[in-house]
Amino acid sequence: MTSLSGDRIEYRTQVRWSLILVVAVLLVLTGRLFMLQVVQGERLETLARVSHVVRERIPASRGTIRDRNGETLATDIEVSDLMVVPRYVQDVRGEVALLRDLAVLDASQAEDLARRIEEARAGPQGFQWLLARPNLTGSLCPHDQERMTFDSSRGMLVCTVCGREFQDQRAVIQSRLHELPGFSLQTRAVRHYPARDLTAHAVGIVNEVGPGDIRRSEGRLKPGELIGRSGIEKALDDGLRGVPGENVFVRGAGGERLDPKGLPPPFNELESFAPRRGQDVTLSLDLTLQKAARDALSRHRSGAVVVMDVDTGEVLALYSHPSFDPEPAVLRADSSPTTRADAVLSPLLNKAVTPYPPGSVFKMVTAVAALMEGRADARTRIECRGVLDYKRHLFRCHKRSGHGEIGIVEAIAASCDVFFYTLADTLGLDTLAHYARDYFGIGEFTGIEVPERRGVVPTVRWYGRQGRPAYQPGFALNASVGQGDVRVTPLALARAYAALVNGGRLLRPRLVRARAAPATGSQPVAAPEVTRFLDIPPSVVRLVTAGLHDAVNTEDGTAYPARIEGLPFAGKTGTAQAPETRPGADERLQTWLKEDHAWFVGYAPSRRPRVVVVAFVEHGGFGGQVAAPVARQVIEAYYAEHADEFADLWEDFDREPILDIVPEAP
Amino acid sequence: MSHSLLGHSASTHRAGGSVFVALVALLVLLVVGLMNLRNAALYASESFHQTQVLWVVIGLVLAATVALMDLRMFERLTPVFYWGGVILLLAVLLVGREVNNARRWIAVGGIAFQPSEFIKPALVLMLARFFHSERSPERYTLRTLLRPMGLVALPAGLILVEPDLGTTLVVMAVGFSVMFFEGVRLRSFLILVGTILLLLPIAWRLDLIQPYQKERVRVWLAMKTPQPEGRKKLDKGMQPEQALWAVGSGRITGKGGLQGVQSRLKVLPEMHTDFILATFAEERGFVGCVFLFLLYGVLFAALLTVAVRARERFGVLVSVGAVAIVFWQMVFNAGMVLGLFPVVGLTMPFLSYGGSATISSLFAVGLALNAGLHRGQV
Repeated sequence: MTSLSGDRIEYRTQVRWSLILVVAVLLVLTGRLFMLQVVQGERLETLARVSHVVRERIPASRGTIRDRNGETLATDIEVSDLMVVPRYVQDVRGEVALLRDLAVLDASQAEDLARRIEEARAGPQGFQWLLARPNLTGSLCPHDQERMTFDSSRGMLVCTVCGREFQDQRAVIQSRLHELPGFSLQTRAVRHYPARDLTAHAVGIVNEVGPGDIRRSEGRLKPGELIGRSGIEKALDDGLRGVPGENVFVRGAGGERLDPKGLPPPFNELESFAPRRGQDVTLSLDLTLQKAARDALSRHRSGAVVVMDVDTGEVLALYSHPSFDPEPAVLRADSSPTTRADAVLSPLLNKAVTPYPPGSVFKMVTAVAALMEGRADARTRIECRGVLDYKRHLFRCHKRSGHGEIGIVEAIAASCDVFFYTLADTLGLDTLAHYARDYFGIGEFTGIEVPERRGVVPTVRWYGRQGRPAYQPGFALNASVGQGDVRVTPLALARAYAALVNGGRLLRPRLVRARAAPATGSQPVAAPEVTRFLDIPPSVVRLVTAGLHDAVNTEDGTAYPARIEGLPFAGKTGTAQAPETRPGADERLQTWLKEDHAWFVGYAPSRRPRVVVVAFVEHGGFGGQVAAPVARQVIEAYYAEHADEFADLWEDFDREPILDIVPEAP
Repeated sequence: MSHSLLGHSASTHRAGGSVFVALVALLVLLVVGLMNLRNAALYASESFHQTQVLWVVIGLVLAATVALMDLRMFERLTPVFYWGGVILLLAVLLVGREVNNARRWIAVGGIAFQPSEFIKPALVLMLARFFHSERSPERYTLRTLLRPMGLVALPAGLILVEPDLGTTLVVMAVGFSVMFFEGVRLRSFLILVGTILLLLPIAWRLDLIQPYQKERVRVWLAMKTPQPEGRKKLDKGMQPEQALWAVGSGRITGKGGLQGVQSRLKVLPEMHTDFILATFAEERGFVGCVFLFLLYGVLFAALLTVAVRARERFGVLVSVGAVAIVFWQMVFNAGMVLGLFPVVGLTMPFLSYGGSATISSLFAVGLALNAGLHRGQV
């Protein structure tokens, strides 16, 4: 214990330093406290009032799709639904009775709603939204689904088309909402298709995004938003959809809304922005021609019509029959589910871009190939006895009695099979395929904006691949008349024939004529796009087009019954054997499936052609009797629409030699 | 209980005065803490402050027992305490209950406790024993400090693995405090501090520091330089940031009892445990906080004064180490709530809710008082 006092002296220094340390550290903490509570106190107190940042998504309205004349094909419409939270309803009978008195519900609807509310109140779903009445009268006429305007003098909504008057239910409910606890109005955008089934395949449809879409979109899509599923709606989805806006505000500690601008950083840098409306799109489609196509095809079970501008590649009509009604159920007058055509007829399939055996319409390609390869010229004569014996296989002409000795123009006009079999034998399958594919783009994708399939042009190598029939020399003969394994889409044929008569420009067919520029809203018309130039000599074009003219306009022509006097059109018929069976088809349809495909591909007018027209009637029968009249009806509609532009052509059409109708190739 | 010690001599009188001051400061702190905790409980519509009263009573009884016990018994049992604590730390890593990805709790007979709370006083006893028995005439150098550093590093390492960064830091700070108090050559001290500063980035790289701990450091760094461009930063940095807002909104005089906006909204994380100071600061303001820090300062000063009254090295070092436990815990916690350090997860002595923490803090106070009360008994 002797070191006791020494110890004490020794530790006295340490204690002093320890005390200094304690005081110093506490002073630092106090200094920090002073900074926070006194110096920055006001700023931090403001921040403390903040609970969290709220970002409300403001949906962007989807762009409108119109036809070339400004007719609306697809547009957003705001629909108001009457919603109710069952548990918040105070007097079920009384409130439902009020809705009936306001003519929002009829007696049976009122009965039904009261029952549904009572049921939900008893169950666990009492606090969940219940749809009391969808689509309150407001935007669209309940009679014909046309737009309505509000007549303020009478306080009624008036339909812009039928003139019927309706009570503005949305406004009525809004004014009585205080008497309807539990009820509220909610608006949502619904896609409205005024043209209904007329443009369903080309324009396409939208529906609500699914979980997969949301995942793939990486945050751009939110539940409840719409996404294009087919046609232009799908192809141009990104542009049509627009950019949703964001309403950013700060939720205060007491639940109040705080303006970020009045808060210190970082909150004052939060910015709201308005939604950017989707791009408007003008299609090259002409609703008049779509109607003509629908009317012409309505006599048949199934088919397609394509009308394309020969110079620009703009698609004026793209109709697939039977069509379907893309209108959402809430906007339909009766709100009933769509009555869709028999599934065996594939109403959802866009037949204008689906490949089929083309039959004789393919002979245009064979003719061009033979003329360009020097296997035939204007003087070539071949005798048709109704059948060709090729290496012990008999290849029949559709005319059993034979065409006699004919040249290439008559052969095209009369669609002599033996003539083209003979040419095909000298050309061979691969040369034929070369012209079909590398010249006329058959078997390629055309490049149209909407999803399409491509056809098939078989070659010797094609047959060599696995799972296909072994190549036989006779296959070239079949291919020359569009049989065998040749498959072409109506649209690809339109493009091929257009290239023949427009000076050799193989065009990309286009449905989109113009897209609104984001800033100005102006819609510059897109320039034609040439896939490639075909070096077909004018002499070849003249011989082939002479045949196409004669096919319609001479007595021996296969489409003679469908001719238009005065302002003739030209073209080639096709009758393609395509027997098939489909599951689900009844006996009547099985018989139908054994029939031939009827084709007509032509252009109008015959001189200085403006449009190329493809009429395809699936299992329709004989091309000249079935498809050519369809094309004729569409061409007549086109003529009627452009009557003034054709005035001088009508005058002197017949006086000019037919072989000069095609302009020189550039 | 200190009655019999008063009035014997001048020095005894001074010591008795310090003990009295320390006890008053402690009791006021406990009352302030319980009142504050009651408000925090009311914000959350809970009643854990009632449970806390029980912990405080248990803690005070324990503190009194420890303060009045014979320190020689502690000295004899020191290795048992220390190595027992180390074994418990090992056990907690193997069979501990996992809460929030950390193994800190162990259950013995239905009572769960944190061995890391127990090891702090045990380490203090162990270090005191070392310096008492192997006293060096010179100031200590790094080589002579190798063994005590090992004694610190062993539990510190085990606690770091749990992981519990906050307690690791406290254990190390307490260890260094005792060594430093005993006297370390300045050069050695500087080398030691330099080594630790060099080791930190290496530990960061080698992933000895948990990802969430790194994230807390990043959040803390982001708080220093407010760049609010990203929504991410706003959301991720929210927790410690909101504690700052709560502290700041207390202003000079505070919002008053039960008027705290941040506290009322329950947006404060760990409102009644690690971040209890924020609730206090919001309600009582700068004035209240200065009063609180003053209470802590008086307690530490009084306990240190009592510590050196001990006749003998072991008692002095035990007392100083015990004060260091409470002191560093308080400093790290306040620094965390006030945004001076990253979030490390430590409770505030006498304010935070929690059985282990309350009992261990009061135990430490009892230990600190023991040396002054039992002068010259070893």
